[in-house]
Amino acid sequence: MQRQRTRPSASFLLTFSLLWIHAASAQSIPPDPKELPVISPAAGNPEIGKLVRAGKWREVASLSEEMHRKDPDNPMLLYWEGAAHLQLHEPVPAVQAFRSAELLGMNTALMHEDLGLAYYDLNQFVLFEEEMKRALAAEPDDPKPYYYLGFYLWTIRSDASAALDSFEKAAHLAPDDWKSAYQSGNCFEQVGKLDQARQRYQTAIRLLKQSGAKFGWPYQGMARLMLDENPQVALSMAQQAVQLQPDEPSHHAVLSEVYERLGDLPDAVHEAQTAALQNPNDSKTHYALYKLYRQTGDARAKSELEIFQQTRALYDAD
Amino acid sequence: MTPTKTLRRAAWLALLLFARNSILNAQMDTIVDPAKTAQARSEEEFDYYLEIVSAPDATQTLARVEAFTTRFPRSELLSAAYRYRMHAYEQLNDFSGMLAAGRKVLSQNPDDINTLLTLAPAMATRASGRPDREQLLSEAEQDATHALTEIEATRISRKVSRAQWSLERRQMESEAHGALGIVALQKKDTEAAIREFKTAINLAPQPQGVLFLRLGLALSTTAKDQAQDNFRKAEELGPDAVRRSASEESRRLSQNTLPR
Repeated sequence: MQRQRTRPSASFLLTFSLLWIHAASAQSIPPDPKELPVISPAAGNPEIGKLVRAGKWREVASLSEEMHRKDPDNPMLLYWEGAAHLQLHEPVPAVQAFRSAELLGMNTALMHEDLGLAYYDLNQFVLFEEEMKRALAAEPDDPKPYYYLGFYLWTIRSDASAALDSFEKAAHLAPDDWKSAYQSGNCFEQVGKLDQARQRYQTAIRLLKQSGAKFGWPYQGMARLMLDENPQVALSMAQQAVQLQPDEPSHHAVLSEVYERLGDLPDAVHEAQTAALQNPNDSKTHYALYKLYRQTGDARAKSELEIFQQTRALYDAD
Repeated sequence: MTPTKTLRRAAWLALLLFARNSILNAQMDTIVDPAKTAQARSEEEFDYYLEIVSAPDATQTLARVEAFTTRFPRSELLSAAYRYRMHAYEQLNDFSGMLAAGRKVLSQNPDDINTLLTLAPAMATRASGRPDREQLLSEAEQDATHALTEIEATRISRKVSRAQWSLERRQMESEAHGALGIVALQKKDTEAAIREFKTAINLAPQPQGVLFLRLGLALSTTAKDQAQDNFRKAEELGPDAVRRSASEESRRLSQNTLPR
């Protein structure tokens, strides 16, 4: 089966942005050494900083808007208004607030990154790229713009080589960041450099173990790589991916594939069913389940084939 | 298998799933292939575009679209801006403005279901008594038929469930058949009108009173009892303007059927 990939949503990016913003609001030196360092834009606004740390984004938006009315020349208040809207998945007011901050002279890497993310959320990729370049110009050692650019190059442009270059730069600047290590591994895998892919996945796993973060993707990557060579190791990896992120359908799909390879068809069916339940609009998942039903002589094969055909017709490219 | 999915070449819009009510979504959120989204080339261009998006009313929308199209005449976002103009004129009940704006959208994006489904019923209902009546009816019929073809071929984003799409699709198809019904009614082809309105009612997840009013009108010459049933249904569903028309048509039909 052809390799699949997802276009991680803007919210996926924002999850990381959120972590960084929390760190930013705390202080310029992050409380968690695994977090990437950023400038602290909240230092002068303790009230806002408190709400940010509590994740109360609606309140951050209201307070910063109110403070901005009293202090209209302060770009920081506009920045926080934009950041709050970004976290609330309201990219239009986010862009408008960030742009107003920019027009008042704000030129920090973080502002450009967040404005870029808001553009990304609106599928405005030309502007997104420009903002990431501006962020790098403002702070050349900041790994995040490289990470975001890599994400964009892989998920939107499908350019694994260019994405790899960006993720490698991000990983170089932030060697303890498991996200960049994983993404580099994934891109190495996509371009067929499997030894390097394995090395990056192993790095990501080592860093994940240190951080305790619930992120199963490098385990899934390792499971794919080990499937032919050592299915038992692949099984262990796929199981760990599922354990870490039980709601991620592709982890279940890979685990199903591993069970099938090991001849454990009942478990393969069970995992494929879970994947299909969690991701009902993915035709390939339904096709995998159909094949398993057929192999096991399950009468549901016929209806599953129909679902596969329906989802393919509705969601897949011609 | 890596993370799920392929977005790349999937045709276009999950269109207009929400477009009738939230055009920004149609333009930017429910599309299948983000890489094909119209791109602003400068921040200033996008600032102007977002001014349109966030305009508080139809009059402001028109002013902001004018400012945008004057300043960025080659923008990739022009088609979307004209769609905003079309809907602003629709809100202001300015048929000529709406038609002109809609035709500009279609000149750049001929398969835009949102625009086809906005123009087709508008042209069909406004054609009566106009010198360009025949042309408007013909265009309305073409646009509604075109919309049905496009709806059939639409590929949608995986963010949208099959159940949700089924509802949206039925609503859009209902609107297209409703427009075809109006065209048929205007052409005095009552048989076709009855067929189209019945189809529209059957497809609509929540049929509106106006569909029953129109079906009643189509039935009034051949099946008066059925026509009255439909007028009653239209009165039940409303809104007020439909309720008043249905009541009036019902009374008129009753008077015409009284024995002399």
